[in-house]
Amino acid sequence: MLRSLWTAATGMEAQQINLDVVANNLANVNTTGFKKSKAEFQDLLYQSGKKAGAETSSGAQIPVGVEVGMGSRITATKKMFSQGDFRQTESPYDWVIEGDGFFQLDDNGRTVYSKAGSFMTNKDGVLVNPEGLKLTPQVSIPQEAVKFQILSDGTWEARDKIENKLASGRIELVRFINPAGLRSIGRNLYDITDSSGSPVKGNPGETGFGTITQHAVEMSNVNVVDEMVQMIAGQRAYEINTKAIQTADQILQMVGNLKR
Amino acid sequence: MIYSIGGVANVYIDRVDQLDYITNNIANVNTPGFKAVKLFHNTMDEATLTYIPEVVTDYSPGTMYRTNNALDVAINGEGFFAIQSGEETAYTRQGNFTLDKEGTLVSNEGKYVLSKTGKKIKIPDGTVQINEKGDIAVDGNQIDTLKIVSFKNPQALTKEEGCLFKDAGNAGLAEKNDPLLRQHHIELSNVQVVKEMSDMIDIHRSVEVYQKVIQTIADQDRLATNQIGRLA
Repeated sequence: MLRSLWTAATGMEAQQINLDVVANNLANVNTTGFKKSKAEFQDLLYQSGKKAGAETSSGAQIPVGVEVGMGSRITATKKMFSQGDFRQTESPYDWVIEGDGFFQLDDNGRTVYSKAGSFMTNKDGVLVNPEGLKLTPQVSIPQEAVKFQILSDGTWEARDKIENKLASGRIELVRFINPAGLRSIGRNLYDITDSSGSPVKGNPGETGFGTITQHAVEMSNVNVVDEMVQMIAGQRAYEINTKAIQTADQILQMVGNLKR
Repeated sequence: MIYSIGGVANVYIDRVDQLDYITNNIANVNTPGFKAVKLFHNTMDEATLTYIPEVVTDYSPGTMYRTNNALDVAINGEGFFAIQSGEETAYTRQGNFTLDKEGTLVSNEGKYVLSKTGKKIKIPDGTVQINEKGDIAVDGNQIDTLKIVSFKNPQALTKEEGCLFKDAGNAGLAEKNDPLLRQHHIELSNVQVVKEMSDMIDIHRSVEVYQKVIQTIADQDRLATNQIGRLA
């Protein structure tokens, strides 16, 4: 059968994944701390027919080898950790990491990582994310506390009505050599993989680590215009690939009709 | 002119082969650093009355696209990056690099990007800056230089999965000392959709004609065998 049929099909498949990624980015345009992904296209293997320098039957030499490509595929969906815009909030437990770094959360004993710094207290006064996962190292706020302050270096303190310090501590961040290699596990959380490298712990403000800004949340870093352009280009590319399939199909049909 | 069914069929197959190249180009319309490839049949092999296939890679530049990624580098003008592919060195125009878990600069398929001295490049923590000559600096301190090469005869390069090109020794490899790199950019595929679509239509129509010709020859053959010599 015609090789073109399969080649065009790989192109369609790749474009489809591309559109899936764009759609997910667009769906999360309002998700706090969301980081967009990008589909990385790559070509597939080349099949070589005649090698360069081979002789034709009349003795002439083929100057350039005949290799035909087999289409394209998506090699990776790369996460883009560029900073999203900040939005001011009232809550003292809304923090932004300005720069590199992730919060550590405890998911039933397993540590997972997140960029979303929108926390709240649970019934025991412990800071948790909106899904109820505890921030590590744990931040416990006494019942009597009315004022909570966190500084850019991650040190925090809770005070009561008459400004007595009730509790204090310092939060810790982690960073990765290759954050693009982290695995999204949904709910705005990331898990480590072989390619992300192990987490490197540190305090906010130290070399390589971002600082903490209180009373703000980091919004999604999805740029709607960029995504729309990607979507248009992806859809058109998909269409063109379908045309290639149609052409290959019609040629195949003609081949079938050669004999009457 | 070719009068036999076999002869027409050969040209027919040549055209269908050309379609394979067009489809591959179209499938790679979004692959960064991809170079369009065309199949031509211009010279005829007199002995067999078949055309000699000729593959030509279009090395014209693709559009520069700003990504704002520190590890995205595009080559403005001539040149290729050097990549460690297995035991050999391969070359590419695809500069959307990333880091592996050791912090080594790799292609997006995880192959090492080579420095001027032919070694892998370890990027320490910090803000990465790559200047137009390929010097890599982290937080202002230069750590290494990307290897950029050019070829006198790039048509002699062979292709490999991952937008890689390989040199069998006849492509005229030379170190490029004055490259013009652009950080935060990638080079998009240079596939010209309009050209590919019009070529596709052209092939479609020619194949239609060849089909008619084959059918006509077959009809004449049938007439010749069935009608000629028969008394009315």
